[in-house]
Amino acid sequence: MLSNHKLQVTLEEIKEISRIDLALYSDKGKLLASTYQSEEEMEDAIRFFADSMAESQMLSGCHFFKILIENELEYILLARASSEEAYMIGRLAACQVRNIVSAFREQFDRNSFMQNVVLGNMLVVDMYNKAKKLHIETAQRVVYIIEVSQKKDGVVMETVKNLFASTTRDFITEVDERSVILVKDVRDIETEDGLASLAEMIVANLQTEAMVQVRVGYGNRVDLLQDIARSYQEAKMALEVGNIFYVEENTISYANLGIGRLIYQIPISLCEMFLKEVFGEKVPDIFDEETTVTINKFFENNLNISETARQLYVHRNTLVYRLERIEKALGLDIRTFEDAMLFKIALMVISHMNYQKSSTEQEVEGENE
Amino acid sequence: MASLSLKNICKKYPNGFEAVKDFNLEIEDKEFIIFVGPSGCGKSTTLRMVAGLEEISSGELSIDGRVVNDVEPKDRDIAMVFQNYALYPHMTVFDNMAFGLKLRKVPKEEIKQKVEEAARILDLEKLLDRKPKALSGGQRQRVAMGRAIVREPKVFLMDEPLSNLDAKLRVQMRAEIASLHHRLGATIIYVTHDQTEAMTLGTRIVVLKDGIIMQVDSPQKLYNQPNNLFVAGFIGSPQMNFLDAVCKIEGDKVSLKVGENSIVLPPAKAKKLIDGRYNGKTVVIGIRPEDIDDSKVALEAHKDSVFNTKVTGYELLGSEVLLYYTINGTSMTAKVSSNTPARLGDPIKLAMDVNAMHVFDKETELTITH
Repeated sequence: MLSNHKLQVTLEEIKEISRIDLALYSDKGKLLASTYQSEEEMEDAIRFFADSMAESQMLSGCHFFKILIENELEYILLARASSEEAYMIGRLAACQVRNIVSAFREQFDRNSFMQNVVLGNMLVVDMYNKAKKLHIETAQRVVYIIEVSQKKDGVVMETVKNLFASTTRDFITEVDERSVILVKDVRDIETEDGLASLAEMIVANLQTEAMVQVRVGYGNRVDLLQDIARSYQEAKMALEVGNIFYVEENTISYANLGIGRLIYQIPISLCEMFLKEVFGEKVPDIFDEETTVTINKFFENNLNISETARQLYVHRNTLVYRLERIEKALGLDIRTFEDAMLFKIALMVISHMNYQKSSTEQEVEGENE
Repeated sequence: MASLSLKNICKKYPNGFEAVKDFNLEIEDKEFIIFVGPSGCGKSTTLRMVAGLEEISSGELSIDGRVVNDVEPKDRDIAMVFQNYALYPHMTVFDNMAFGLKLRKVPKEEIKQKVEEAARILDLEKLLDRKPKALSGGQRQRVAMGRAIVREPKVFLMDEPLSNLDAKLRVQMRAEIASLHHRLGATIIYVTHDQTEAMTLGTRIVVLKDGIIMQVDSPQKLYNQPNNLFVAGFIGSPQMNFLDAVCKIEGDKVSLKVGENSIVLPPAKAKKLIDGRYNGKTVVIGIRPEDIDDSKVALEAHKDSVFNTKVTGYELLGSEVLLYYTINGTSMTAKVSSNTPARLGDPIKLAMDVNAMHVFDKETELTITH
């Protein structure tokens, strides 16, 4: 809800311009904001005025005004003076408060509406009725999830909000402590490169302004409101798959997950079966630093022995010896395309299993705490 | 401002990929240091490790003598400018520059003073009330710089800040950044893949490849005395020509045989090949396009290194001409005066300046002599 502090600031600003003291009460007579220290108890007068048919009234040397939001009495405003000028200022202040509260409430409703849409908490029928009421039009949208490495502070939210504040077509919301969700209207971003640039721009701004490590995952374009939840799930999956297979990337698109997308969806039991098939009963423990670096460099250079040896600063024969040692331990000759491919997939499967295992352990730890 | 020390810095990702390997560098106070290299060489990763936005896998990073490996990015007293950086569209230039300070709850008066000072340095005083859409590309970039300057950091980190600008604006902004460094007296680490930017801006340049430092030196030294084939090929535009040659040593005389031609090396260069026992081995000759000439004077002066070939390409640059041709099956480029009578398809005689010639070990790719 709109804070009393904001209402207080508004009244003070009006007083600064008009020199008329103002006070704002709830419809039950509770003081919410005031520019002066009142000596009298106003509760009875407020209740009396609230029950009356009048929209404004002169009582105890003050002008009283009713403030209705969506035809419901919400506030009573007092202008402390009996002059004509005080009456006019009182009316203006009541109008100002009504508009601020309405705008804030609509924004609040829009955000909580989008939060429910993102999380898939709404029936499609309700979704469209509510969207119409909140003036949310149908548009092509993409959900971006901005994941912060530590628990986020206000600076992250503030920065993202300000980046997209000039348009009411985008929605910024949050559903947990470590991420911000941006539902972006992408009608004017035609290419996939444009979506990627936007993700990179968010990362760059947050790194510069909030000085935090962030990763941005984003889903596919969707046209219907009920599909926003799908784009959100895709963005979530992009981040998870990225955490396993593309750790060096700051922005990950669901549309470009490559083979990681397939491996991520394989059940653990199938993964175990596959590894057993490739390596036998036990995954060989040969992944020391030298072996890992050798294998990675060999793959980076498309299985080219001379180039790999050169880049590793070792003699060609040394590299061949290392590769033979790997073959002996693994039963796979990674110099051949077939075995190299099998080995690469097996490595990705191991990463996937390790990630799932550590996630489960973290969940258990969390539950125990 | 501050000095930085990077000792044995490594970045290794959980999947085994090593982005940066044993990076050692001392950066002095007020230095303008450039990290340059091809895409994926680890330059941006190193910069992000300095910023604290990327964890350091091993090694030690110090700013002004204080180890900062575990210090939060916001407590490192640094400011960054990125290529994809965007301004807040609904805010004026003043508010854009003040935004970061407001978030840090800096008092209003102090913000005003800092923004005005930065605007003065960047010549943005008259634009403070404008919104980003009313600014040119260069002005927007200056505002982005302003947002970093108002923080008064110890170190500025810039990650390809000019790569989104067009060629003309880039040249203009390059000059502005150089002058800004001079005015601020700031320590700047600047990442780029553009060797011209590196050569024109840096007091020292770090050339990186595959996460390894290839050479750290002044622009002049990198150009004249590259440590290896990679640096020689990366620095300079058009790039250095490379030719395979067989080394023949007869007493004190060293000649490099390229096809039918033999190039006799001057004594100082010859000595390096004799000491390295290169007789009979294949080496790589490196010669910059500007050290190959078709003028009478050059043909006379370098009689032992004249090649007969045919012009396969002709590009007029204004005062100079780029001539493309082949020697022994290798494509080569020469940068000669625009007075040259040579045209596309003409037979031509070209002389290499042997004094400016570099020779590299074919296997290790390290420089034997330059």
